[in-house]
Amino acid sequence: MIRENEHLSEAEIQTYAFDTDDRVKAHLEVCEACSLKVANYRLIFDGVKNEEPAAFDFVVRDFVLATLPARNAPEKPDHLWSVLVVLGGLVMLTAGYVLFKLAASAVSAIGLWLMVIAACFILLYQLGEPVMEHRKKMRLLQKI
Amino acid sequence: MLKDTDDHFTDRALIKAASNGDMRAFGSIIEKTEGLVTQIIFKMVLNSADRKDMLQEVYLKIFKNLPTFKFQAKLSTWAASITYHTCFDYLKRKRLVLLEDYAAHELVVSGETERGLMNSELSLILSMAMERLSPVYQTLITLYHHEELSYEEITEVTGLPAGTVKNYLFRARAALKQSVLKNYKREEL
Repeated sequence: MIRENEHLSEAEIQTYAFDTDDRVKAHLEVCEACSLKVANYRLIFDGVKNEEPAAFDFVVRDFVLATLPARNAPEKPDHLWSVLVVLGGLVMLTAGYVLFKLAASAVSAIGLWLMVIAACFILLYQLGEPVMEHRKKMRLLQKI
Repeated sequence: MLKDTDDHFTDRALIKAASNGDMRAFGSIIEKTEGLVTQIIFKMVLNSADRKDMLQEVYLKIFKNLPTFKFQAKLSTWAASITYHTCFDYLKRKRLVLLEDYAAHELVVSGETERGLMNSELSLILSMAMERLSPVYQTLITLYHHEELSYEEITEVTGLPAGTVKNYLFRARAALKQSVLKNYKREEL
C-alpha cells in the first residue's frame, strides 16, 4: 500500500518511471517532490536513449574478415608437393631398377631381396613423413 | 547458393552458410550484430587498442562457435552474450573494478529537495557521469535504456539471474542520477 503522507522510495520512483507501475500514481498527483524525481529519471534516461551510439573508426566487417581468412579459407591442394612426390617416386623406382639389375649379377638372391625390402621400407618412410607432418600441422591449427 | 541481397537471408541460412566457410555470409552476420557488440565493448573496455583486440577476439569466438549455435536465443543476443563474457574476462585479467557499491552513496538521502534538470544542459553532463560508473553498470544501462533489451534478454546476455539484473540496474540508475545531479549543481555554481 502506498502511503499518501510519505515520499516514495527510490525503488518505487524507478518502478513508476520505467515500468509504469500505476500503484503510486495517486501519490505522484499530489507530491511535487516525488514527481520531480520521476521527471529527472525520465529526462536522464531519455538522454541515454538518444545518445549517439558508440562506433569504431573503421569498417568492422572489413576489419574482422581480414583477420579470419588465414585460418578459415578452404585449403588449396599443394600441387608442388604432389609433383615432387611423383618425381621422387619415379627417380627412386628407376634407381631401384638399375641397382637391381647391377646387383643381380653381383650378389646372391637372398642378399638381393634383403636390399629390395630395405629399399621399400626407406621409400615408405620417406613418403609417409610429409603426410604425418601435414596431419600434425592440421591438428595444431584446429586447436588454435 | 547465395542470393545477391543478404537481407533476404534468414539467420538460420546465414549461419549455415557461414559455418560452411562462406565469408560473405559471415560478413552479413557481422553487420547484423556489430551494433550491440560495439556498444558492449565500448562500455566495458576503456582502452581503444584493447577495444580493437576485443572486437577481433569476439568475432573469432562467434565464428568458431557458429556451428554449435542452436537458436536457443536470438543471434544478436547470443553474439552480445559472447561479447559480454569476453569483456568480463578481460576486466578480470586486468584486475579492473567490475562493480562498485554505489548503493552506499544512494542510500544517503539528503534532506534537500531534488532540483529539476534542464534538457539543454544534460547531454554534456550525462556522458561524463556515465563514464564514472563501473563497466558492468554502464553496460546494463546501455542494454536496457539504449538498446532497449528486456530484462530477460539482459539475463541471457549477462548470465546473471533476473533478480540480480534488476537490482544492479536499480543501483546503476540511482548512481547515474546522483552523479548527474552532483555535476549539474557544480556547473551551476
